[in-house]
Amino acid sequence: MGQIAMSFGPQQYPVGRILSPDSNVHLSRSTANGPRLKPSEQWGSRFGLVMAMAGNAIGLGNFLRFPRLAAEHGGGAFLIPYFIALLLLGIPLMWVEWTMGRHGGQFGHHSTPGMFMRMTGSRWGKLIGSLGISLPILFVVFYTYIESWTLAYAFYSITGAYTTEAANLATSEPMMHTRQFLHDYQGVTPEGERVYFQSLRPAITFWLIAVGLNCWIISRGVSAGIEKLAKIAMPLLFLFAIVLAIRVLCTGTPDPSLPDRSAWAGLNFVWEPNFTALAHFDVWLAAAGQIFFTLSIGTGSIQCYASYLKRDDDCAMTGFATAATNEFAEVVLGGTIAIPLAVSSFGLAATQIIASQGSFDLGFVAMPLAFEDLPLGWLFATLWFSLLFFAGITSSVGLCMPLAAFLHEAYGIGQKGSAAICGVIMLVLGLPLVLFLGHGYLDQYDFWVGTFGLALFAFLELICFGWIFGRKQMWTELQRGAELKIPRVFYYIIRYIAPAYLLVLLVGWTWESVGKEILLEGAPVADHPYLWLSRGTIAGVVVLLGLLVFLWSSKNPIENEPARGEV
Amino acid sequence: MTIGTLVFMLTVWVVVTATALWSILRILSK
Repeated sequence: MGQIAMSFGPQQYPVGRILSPDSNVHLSRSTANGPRLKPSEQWGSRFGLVMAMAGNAIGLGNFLRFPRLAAEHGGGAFLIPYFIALLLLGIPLMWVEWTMGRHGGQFGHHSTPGMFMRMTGSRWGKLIGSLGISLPILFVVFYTYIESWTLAYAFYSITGAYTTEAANLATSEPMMHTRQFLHDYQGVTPEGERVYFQSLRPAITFWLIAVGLNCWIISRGVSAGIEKLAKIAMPLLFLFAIVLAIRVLCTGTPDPSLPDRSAWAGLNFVWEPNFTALAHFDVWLAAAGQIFFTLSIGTGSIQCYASYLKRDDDCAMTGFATAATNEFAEVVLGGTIAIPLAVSSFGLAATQIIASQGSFDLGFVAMPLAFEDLPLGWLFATLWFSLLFFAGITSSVGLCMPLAAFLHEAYGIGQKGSAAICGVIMLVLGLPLVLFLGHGYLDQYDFWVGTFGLALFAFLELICFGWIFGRKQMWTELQRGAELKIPRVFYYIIRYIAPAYLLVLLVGWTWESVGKEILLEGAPVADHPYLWLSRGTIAGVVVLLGLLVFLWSSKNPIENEPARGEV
Repeated sequence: MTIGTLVFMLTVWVVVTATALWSILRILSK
């Protein structure tokens, strides 16, 4: 480390490999405020890195979205397009993002603007890379709010606040009171009809706790914050999920007079192949979409995490392990808990209706009631919502990191300051979401940021890495330090097949969403101002952060960067 | 659940679990 104890001005950029080509020391680059050179953080251990990466990938979707989609789209047959998408889209993009991150990290870049400029050799690359900081921070705005619901439900599972005993509703519809509980908590129920919560105070309290926890972890940095969290949360997540999966499989047939209500009937519902579904384009679209979301591709967080690797650290095996761990959590554990338990409690027909109503109904309306049927149900419900919370928070800190890293890298803002800024953004942008949830505010974020934006950014990544960076450099960089030989066929997949696949996804999603999400067909006219506010916020953040990147770009002209051939 | 569905499900479980364990153990052994 002593070799880097020297100073240089802002224009004496390059650092990293040019300054110390064979060094494993990471350098933090000069900033707009003047010279700033210090060793940047690194992961404490490979286990910690894999846990953090797996935590970043494993999210709420593994346990709520996957089983619902599989059951809805052909059961076992859904896994055919799912695994094809994993092979042609998920794993290649995982390797690309890991490699981009490690490459950028050698030059002190821990966020995508700098990484893209390095790869493209153009200032415009930096602007494209700005999407890698604006999209994740927008994503985390709504993700953290949903994450706070899981924290609240873990608490309410212990207190028994939503149980049938606690309900005073006279209703024949079994899920009526848990739905009422959720809608009251969210403030969606009109005033005067609320039973459980008369105000949003509890929701806001848990949301503030979730935002605060995220900020605290980010402020502690990579090793002491994110890695430590992952080392605690991920083993607990797997433990809770395995306990729940075993418990669900042991439920048998709770009521012998209703033999169809069993966990095995639920597993059959998830896994029985319906090959006719493969003829439908939307099934292929849903499978590819799930692979895309479940691996946290296109969020800029994988690059950020990988940028703390050393120059010759392996990306191939570690990236593959991340994807494999995520698939274990999703296909084996995620497919065994929610739907089978729902079928054992409510039967197949009711579960099909629940599944068609969305992941939130499955997770927050059906599951609390299903756990109630089990002995020690409150305990299993607590485990369920705690595992969802762990899955959520290990993902949300990853989504905050690209912006925090950029603020540190470009404007010299310290870890605590960057974390505070992320917190303020989450609060300011999240408040309308909390207040206007019932007006479709979340759906606009989900489409423009969580669906369209991420796929667009991933497409641009592939073009920059596979085509502009240079085909030889791309392949050499991918294989550097690899502990797993990447088959040559992935060269062609990265350059041709994956971009084409993403293009089809983008067109397909746009086509599917033209009416509802883009033209706002079916949305009540009274909701239009809220929906436009949501769109305006998204556009404003993208433009504002693009401007911040541009200003940084102006102070660090591309002419001072090393030429592409040098790196 | 038919035998075919059961075998299919168990095969996927075994392959996915084994792949995850193999890759994690390879990393930890280095």
